[in-house]
Amino acid sequence: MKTAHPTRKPPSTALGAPLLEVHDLAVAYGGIRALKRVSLEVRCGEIVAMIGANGAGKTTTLKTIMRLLPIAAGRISYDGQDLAGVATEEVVARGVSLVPEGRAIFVNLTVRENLELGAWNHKDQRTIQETLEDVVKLFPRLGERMKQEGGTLSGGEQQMLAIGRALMARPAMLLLDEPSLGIAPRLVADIFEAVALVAASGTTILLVEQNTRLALKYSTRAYVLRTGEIAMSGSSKELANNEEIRAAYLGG
Amino acid sequence: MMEILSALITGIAQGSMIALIALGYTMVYGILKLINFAHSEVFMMGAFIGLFAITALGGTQAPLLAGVGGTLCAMAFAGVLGVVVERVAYAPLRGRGRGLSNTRITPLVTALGMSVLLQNLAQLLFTARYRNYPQLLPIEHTRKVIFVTAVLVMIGLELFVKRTWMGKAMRAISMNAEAARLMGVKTSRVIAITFVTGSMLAALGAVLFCLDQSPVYPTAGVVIGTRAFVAAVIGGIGNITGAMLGGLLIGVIGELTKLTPYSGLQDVLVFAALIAVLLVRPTGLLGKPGTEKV
Repeated sequence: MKTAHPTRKPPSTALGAPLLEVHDLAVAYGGIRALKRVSLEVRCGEIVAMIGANGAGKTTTLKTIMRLLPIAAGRISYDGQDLAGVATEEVVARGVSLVPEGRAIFVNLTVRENLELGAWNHKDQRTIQETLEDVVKLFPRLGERMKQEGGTLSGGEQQMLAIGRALMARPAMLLLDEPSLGIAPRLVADIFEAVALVAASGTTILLVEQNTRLALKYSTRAYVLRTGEIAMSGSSKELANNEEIRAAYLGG
Repeated sequence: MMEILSALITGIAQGSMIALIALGYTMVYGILKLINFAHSEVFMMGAFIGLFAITALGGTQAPLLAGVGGTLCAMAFAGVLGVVVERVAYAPLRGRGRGLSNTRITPLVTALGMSVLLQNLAQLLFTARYRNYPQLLPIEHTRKVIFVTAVLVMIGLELFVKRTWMGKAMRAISMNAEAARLMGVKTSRVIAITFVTGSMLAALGAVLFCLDQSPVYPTAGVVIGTRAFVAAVIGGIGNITGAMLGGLLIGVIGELTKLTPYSGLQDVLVFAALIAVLLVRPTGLLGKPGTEKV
């Protein structure tokens, strides 16, 4: 699939060098300290997974990277540039897209309109057409449903739409929040295979996932988040064989 | 029979004007879930500016220039006023106190305050005197102009909302503002454009309304604003087509009432229609239930 953005230059970060860096990040909202101290990096071209129990702060981390939540302390930088004081729309324009938890598709817009809105940051008709074709190749089910309202799709199809919509922006980096949540098991595999294809075409991926087995299978490295802190990190293979991880997250 | 027919025609003209104002309520509600009580005062201010501009441009001496030029002046002024109200009164409250229970009440009270402020400002600037527009056209022609203008504007607005990037962004924000931001949509700009559009339509409605033999005075917005608000709710607040439908319904009800000995009951019947519709369809005629997550 094609990934070049019509106007934005590709990241200046070299393949294998850190594209996204989160340093000692702390986040508080509604009086709760959701993140205490999170440091992680995602290198250009990697698939990195973030795993951990409910409420560990995974979604908070992603939302803060997208600048939907304020930073209490610490630093986030993308492609060598600090994201403090950068608006969400600008983060998207710089090449980072989030597929949010619960999919957040526009329920009363058609599938096509949902996808078109994903291209808001370039609005380039040729790129839109090319990406639409790529997205339909990736998720053939969406091709049959172009004129349907987003709200009429099944959970799995909505997830495909949410991923497709994010790809329409031609992001250099894709953040995925729980793509397997509430989805029929046979569609989960399809979705992860598609994510692997997207990564293979050169998009860097940070994947948040409660399904630890899947997350470790599809990622190269992983971070374990526990109550707002990074508890462990390493290559996904190592973590999959780690006793503690097996006991806590892989059911022994 | 002829009486009923002519009442229907007048009613449709009246209704399409009410619909123009109702669109402003419904668009803002659709996007911000805020009832912009100051909208009726934008309407009133638009009517004043329209009157001054029409007089300045020659009034009955040059009816075409005065009519078109005056309307455009009123719309431009109202557009600016609408966005000023948004930036001064509503924008500073957005995003604050996220997660608190009163996040919807605060802007609502501010909207009421803005409405009172503008009414009093008009009183101070223009005095409470009733003023009439000059008769630019014979009255039966005025009604045709009103009807045709309103229909054209509604078709234009429908196309704008359905076909353009900006229109799609408006609909997307009304469904899920956070997701719209994640697409890269600058929501504050879209909100500003929504206020500009709604306010300009209100000013257009105001000039048409006053050309149809209604006087303008500082509280002129209250009566017509209430009817327009009811029209928006009857149609399903947040729904543009619904606002048009609601406006027409209220206009026709109003004119038909005048044929009976109970013409004073117009507003009573308007509210009775509101209650009847809401009893049967709590989300209004075209409102979709359950699309709004709280």
